[in-house]
Amino acid sequence: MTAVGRALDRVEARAKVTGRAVYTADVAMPRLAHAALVQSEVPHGQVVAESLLRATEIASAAAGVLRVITPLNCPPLKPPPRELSDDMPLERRPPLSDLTVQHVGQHLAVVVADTLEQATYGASLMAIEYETLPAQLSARDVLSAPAAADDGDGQLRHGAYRPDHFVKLDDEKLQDRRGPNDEPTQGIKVESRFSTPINAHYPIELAATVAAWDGDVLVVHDTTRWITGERQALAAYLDMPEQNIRIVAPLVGGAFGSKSFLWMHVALCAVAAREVERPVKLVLTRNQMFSSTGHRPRTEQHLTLVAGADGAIASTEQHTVTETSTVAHFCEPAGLSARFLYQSPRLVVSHTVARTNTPTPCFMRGPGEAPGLFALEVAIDELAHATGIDPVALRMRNDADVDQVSGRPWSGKHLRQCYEQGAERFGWDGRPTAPRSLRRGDVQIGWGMATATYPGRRMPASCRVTTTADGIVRFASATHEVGTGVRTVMSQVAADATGLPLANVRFESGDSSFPHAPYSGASQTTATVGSAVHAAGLQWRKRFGERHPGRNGAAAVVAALRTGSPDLLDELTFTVSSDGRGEHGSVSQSFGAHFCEVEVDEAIGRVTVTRWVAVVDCGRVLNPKLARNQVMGGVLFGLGMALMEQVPYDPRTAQVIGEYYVPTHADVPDFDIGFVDAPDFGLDPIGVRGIGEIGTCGVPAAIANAIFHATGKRLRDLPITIEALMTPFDPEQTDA
Amino acid sequence: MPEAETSCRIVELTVNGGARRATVDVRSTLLDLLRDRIGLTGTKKGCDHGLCGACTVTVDGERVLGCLTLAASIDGSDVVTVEGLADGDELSALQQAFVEHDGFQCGFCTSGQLSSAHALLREHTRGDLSAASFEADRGAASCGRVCLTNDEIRERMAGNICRCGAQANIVTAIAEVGRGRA
Repeated sequence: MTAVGRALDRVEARAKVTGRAVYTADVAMPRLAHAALVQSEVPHGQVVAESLLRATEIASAAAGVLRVITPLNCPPLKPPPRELSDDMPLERRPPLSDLTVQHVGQHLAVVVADTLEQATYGASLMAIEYETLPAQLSARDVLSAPAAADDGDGQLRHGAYRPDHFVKLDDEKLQDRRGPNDEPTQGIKVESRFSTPINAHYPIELAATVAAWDGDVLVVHDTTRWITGERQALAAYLDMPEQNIRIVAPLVGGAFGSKSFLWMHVALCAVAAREVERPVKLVLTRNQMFSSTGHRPRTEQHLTLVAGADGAIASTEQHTVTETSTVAHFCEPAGLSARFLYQSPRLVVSHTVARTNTPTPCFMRGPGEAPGLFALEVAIDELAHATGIDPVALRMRNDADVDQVSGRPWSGKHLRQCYEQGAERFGWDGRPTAPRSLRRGDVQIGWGMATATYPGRRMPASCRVTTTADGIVRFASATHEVGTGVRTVMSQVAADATGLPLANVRFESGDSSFPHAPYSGASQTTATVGSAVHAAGLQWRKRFGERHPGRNGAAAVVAALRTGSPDLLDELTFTVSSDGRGEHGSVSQSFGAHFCEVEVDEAIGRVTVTRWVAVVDCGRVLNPKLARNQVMGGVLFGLGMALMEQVPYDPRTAQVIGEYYVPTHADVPDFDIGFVDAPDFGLDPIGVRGIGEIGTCGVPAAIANAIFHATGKRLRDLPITIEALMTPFDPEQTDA
Repeated sequence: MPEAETSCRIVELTVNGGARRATVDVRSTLLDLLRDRIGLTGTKKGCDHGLCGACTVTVDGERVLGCLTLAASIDGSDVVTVEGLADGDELSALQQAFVEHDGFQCGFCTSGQLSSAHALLREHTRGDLSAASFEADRGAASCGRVCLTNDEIRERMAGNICRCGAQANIVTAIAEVGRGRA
């Protein structure tokens, strides 16, 4: 029996339920000092130097305070590598480099003290004054005013721009068109405007760093999901060789796209440790997490579909306006899915990014897909309503057999099965077409659905195998256990590839001394690191077979290791690398279908999601227990986005003036999660595509469509709150 | 506030059955005392202002938020943390059910979820009601004998946030243990 495919418990499960699992903030060291950040309270302006000097003097005199580091005394940090800042969201400007303020929450000082209480109190004494400047807080502000010139050697940029492609992915075009120039004048047209707010990743683990110097060598324990990128960024900031930096990421308490790129506070913690000549711990506060670890930026999307009476789409346009900071580059790529998801002879997609005086955004679970499929999949529902065609039938009618962008086939696409199985499991056949048809007691009932899609991605990675005389074979890679179960599923892959029992393999992650792995993001880790582990395991089996031909059976193999010579163990200790995805002639993409039921109590504006069916086509499922958990988590992430999540910035002061609501136990529907479970060997030799994000994609649309079915209200602005449901509904107002 | 900077108290606690004595800054929370001074880092800081439930521990038999409890305010109390839930190597029934039903992903909220889950079972056994009790069967609620339905569990666990989204598995784990007791 293979290890892959079994519903195994997580390898670190016991540590997690007994409190023995170690996360960054749990790391203790002798003489550990504590740091607290001081951050700007205005969105644009200049710190008054005299006030900073005075505040520094007062805070420095407080009990236990060891050092106050500000732009006036911070050893200058070098700019970060351009390859991380030009098309990735690493800020171009090093932290504490000058007295200009570009957004609320910009780091202005670090207070280091003997205890956390002393550091926190010291930071509270930092009364800083500003010469304020007018701030541009929204895309509208930026687009309606002439752009200021770049500043600080291009570190500060203003105005708006239209990026060609998403991050470093040349073929994921953010400005794209195909087919005739003009929109067809005949047919049924749906034209709508959608908006999505600022969302926060909100991992329950706060970002934490423990930095310690040993001579010229820096060891950083950090809550990061990109060890090798962080090492590269720190080496640049601190102007030191990468090999003198070791990054350790113990278990990471959730990331969802954060805990990467925004490493300014990590660099400051390292500086603080060097200045006070002691190890320093810095843990961001929950409020600092909103401004200092990234967020999903706002989008405004205009979407137009034109179709024939038979529902065949003739034209799709999706135009997105989104926001980044003045100090970093990021574009929420909302329009990417529209390029291929439904057959559409004519297509126009555009993205405009406005640089605002707000903190730097970054990737968040389903970057692009989460807000983009909200607009596209609601628009498809509007088209279904306009044509009188069932929403599932309309999607099947427009299903694309090949990737329209490249003309190439899919490496494995089973979307029709997702629709069919999902509809059957949900009981979609019984759905009355007209809105407001279903009622249960005092509440309206609505059924909605949406398509999910997310790319199958893979990058190069390496894996080290170490064989020891205790019969244990350890696989190690500089990847991260952020809660996805990578240690568990990699152990399963390693066991099958080597032929060893699960008890005799381990998978270790979270240390820059391990061979290279990319960031844990973009749903790529299982395909990426799994390919390296698989190759390493096969190599291990081959090497063992050459030394012990004919020795078969797990018990015999383990016995041979226990009695093996050092020479054998050496032979079975090595490192292998695997490539990124080659050009196989096919395109890898995951798909899925979401179906849900909502109850809407119109008297009090309350929406309850009661039932959820998701069927996902994500290649081979390595561990059904963990995969089901991941998809349920993805759905809840989308449920929060649909109904409650928005960072409550005050539009005038740019301050966060409320709390960020996320789903609780009381908001969870009954789940029925299914997988097509068809291996996709076009992407990698283990047949997987990632599942970290597909669960979220399409969820807000399925809920909004269900709310329409329940109430007849087409609500196109997220989140759909009580206020939105209680406001007298004017269908004209939300149309484009 | 110069006094505040230097003011300390001696606190004596029983933690997971063992006597502890510590000099604490009056500004220290129970959470920071447990983690930074006593070295019991199983209890987690997720927000430090009573929103997320990750720091839930038991003080004198009741669940409290460690981040909203000043250490100096509970002198003489009996504290149980996640490290005190197992009997040596033998996991509690709830810990075992969390493992089997995969009641977590990243694991950061898990200590708080488990502390709350243990408290939930004690509270239900002694007849405590929840908001959900009155939405279901008011008759049963009025005599204080409500069934531990999934809705009851969801309501009673609503103060413990899991951002990974393992809630459905957590509820399954608690329901299995809770119904086994009934």
